[in-house]
Amino acid sequence: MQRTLLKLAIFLPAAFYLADFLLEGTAASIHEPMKIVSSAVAIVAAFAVGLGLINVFQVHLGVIARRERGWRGSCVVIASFFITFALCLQGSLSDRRVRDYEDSFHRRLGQAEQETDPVARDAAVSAIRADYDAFMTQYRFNGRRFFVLNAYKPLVATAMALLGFYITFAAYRAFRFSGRDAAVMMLAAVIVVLGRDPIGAWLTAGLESSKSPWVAWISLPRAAEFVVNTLSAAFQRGLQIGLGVAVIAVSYRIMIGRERGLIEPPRGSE
Amino acid sequence: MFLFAIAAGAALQKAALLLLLAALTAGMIAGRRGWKLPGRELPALAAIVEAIGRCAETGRPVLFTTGGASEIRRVELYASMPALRLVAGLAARYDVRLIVPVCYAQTLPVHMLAVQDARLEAADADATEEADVRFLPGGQFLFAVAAMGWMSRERPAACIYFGYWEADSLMFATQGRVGEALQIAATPNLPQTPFFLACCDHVLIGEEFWLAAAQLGGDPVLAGGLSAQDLIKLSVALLIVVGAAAATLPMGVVSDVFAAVRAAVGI
Repeated sequence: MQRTLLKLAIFLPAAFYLADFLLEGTAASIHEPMKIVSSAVAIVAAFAVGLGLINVFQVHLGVIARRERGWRGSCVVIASFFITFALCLQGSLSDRRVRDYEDSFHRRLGQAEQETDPVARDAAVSAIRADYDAFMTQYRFNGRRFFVLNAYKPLVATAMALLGFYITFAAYRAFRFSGRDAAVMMLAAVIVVLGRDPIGAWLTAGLESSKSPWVAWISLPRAAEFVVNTLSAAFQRGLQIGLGVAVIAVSYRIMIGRERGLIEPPRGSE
Repeated sequence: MFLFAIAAGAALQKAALLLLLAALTAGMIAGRRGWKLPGRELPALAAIVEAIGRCAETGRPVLFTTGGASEIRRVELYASMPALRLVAGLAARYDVRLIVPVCYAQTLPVHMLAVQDARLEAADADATEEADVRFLPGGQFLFAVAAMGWMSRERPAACIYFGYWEADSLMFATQGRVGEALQIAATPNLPQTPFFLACCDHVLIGEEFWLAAAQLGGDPVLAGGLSAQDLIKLSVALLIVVGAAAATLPMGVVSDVFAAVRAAVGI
C-alpha cells in the first residue's frame, strides 16, 4: 500500500509535467494548474529539511554521548547550528521590521511633501528623516548578513580555492605514463597544451610554413585544433546524443515505477 | 514565418518525444517476453564486488556518495540508487561498514530508503557493521570539505562515486587517492570525467552511467528498454549519416535520389 502511494506520488506530478510540455501553446494548456503542482512539490521537499536536521542531531549528539573520536568537532557542529540559527533568525526579523518601517516611512514622507507651507513641510520632512535614521541605527547589525559575509562566503571561497591544488594533482596524474589508455590521454594532453601555447608554434614554426598542406597539418597548433575541434567535439557530441536518449529513458522508467532502487520492494519482503 | 518555424520546431520536439516513449514502451513489452540485444559488460560494475571484498579484507569501510551536485531535481540521483542498493547489500553481506555522506536534506530519504531496503534484502547476512548515512549541510563545497574530513578519519578502502558531479569530483577523487582507496566513479557530466579518469581506478563514461542503472536492475523489462534505447541511438546515427550525405552531395544528386524514390513508390 505504502509503495503504491509512493508510485502514485511520483507518477502524478511527472505526468503533469509531461502533459504541461505536450500541451504547451495549445488551447488545452495546463500551465496555470501546474503552478499549484510545483508549489505542492516544493512543500513536500521542505519537509525533508526537518529530516536532515534530525539526522544531524542524531549523529552528532550520539558521537558526543559516546565520546567517540572527533566528539569535540561534533560539539562545534551543534554550537554552530545554534549560533547560525540565532543569527539568521535575528536577520530575518530585522529585515521584516525594516521592510515594514520603510513602507510607512515612504508613505509618511509622501504625505509630508504634500504640505503647502514650506516651513512646516521642511520641519515635517526633517523629523521623519531623523526618525528614520534613529530607527535604522537600531537595526544596523543584521545577523544573517553578518553570517553570510563573515563566515559562509569566506569558508566557501577557501574550499573553492583548494581546487587549484587538486587540479595540479590531477594534471600530474594525467601526465603519468601508466598504461595504454593513459598514454593516449597523455599524448592528447601534450598536443593540446603545447599547441595552445606560443612555445608549440615556435617549436613547429618550420612545419607551419611548409608548402605541403600535409606537413603543415602536423604542426602543433594545427594538431591541437584538430584534437579539440574535430576529435574531441565529435566524441562529445556522440556521447551527448546517447546521454539525451538515456535521460529520457531513465526519467520514463522512474515515472512508471520501473527503476530499481527507488520504490521497488526489497526481495523477500513482500 | 518565424513563429511558424518555432511552432513547427516545437511540434517536432513533441512528436520526437512521443515516438521515443512509444519505442521505449515497445522495448519494455518485448523485454518482458525475453527480447534483448546483446550488450557488453561494464568492468566498473564488476569492480564494485572487488571493492567491497577489499574492504572486508582490510576491515576498513566503503564510501558511497552522489556528490554535492546531485540535487533532488536531478534524475542522475535516482539513477544512482541501484548502485547504492548494490553496495549497501554487499556491505551488509560481507559485514563491511558503509558510510554515505549526503549533501542535501531533500535527498536524505532517497539514500536512506535505498540503504534500508538493501539491508533488508541481505537480512540473513547477520551483519554487525552499521550503515552510516549522514547529512553534511553547507552546500556543495562545504559538503565536500566535511566529507573529505570524514574520509581522512575513516580511511575507506573503497570509494564509489555515482551521480551528477561538478567541481567537487576532483576533491573527493584526490582525497580517495591519497587514502589509497580503490575508486569507482560514474557521472554523465562529461567535463568532470577527465578528473575522475585521472584519479580513479574504474570510470563509467557518459552514457555508461545510465546503462549501469539498468544493468544493475537485472530486470528483463529494463533490458528490453535498454535494447530499445540502442535501436533509437542507431536510428539517430543513421539520420546523421543521411543528413551529412544530403548536405555534402551536390543538390542534383539528392534530387535525383528523391525522384527515383518517388518513381519507385509511385507518387
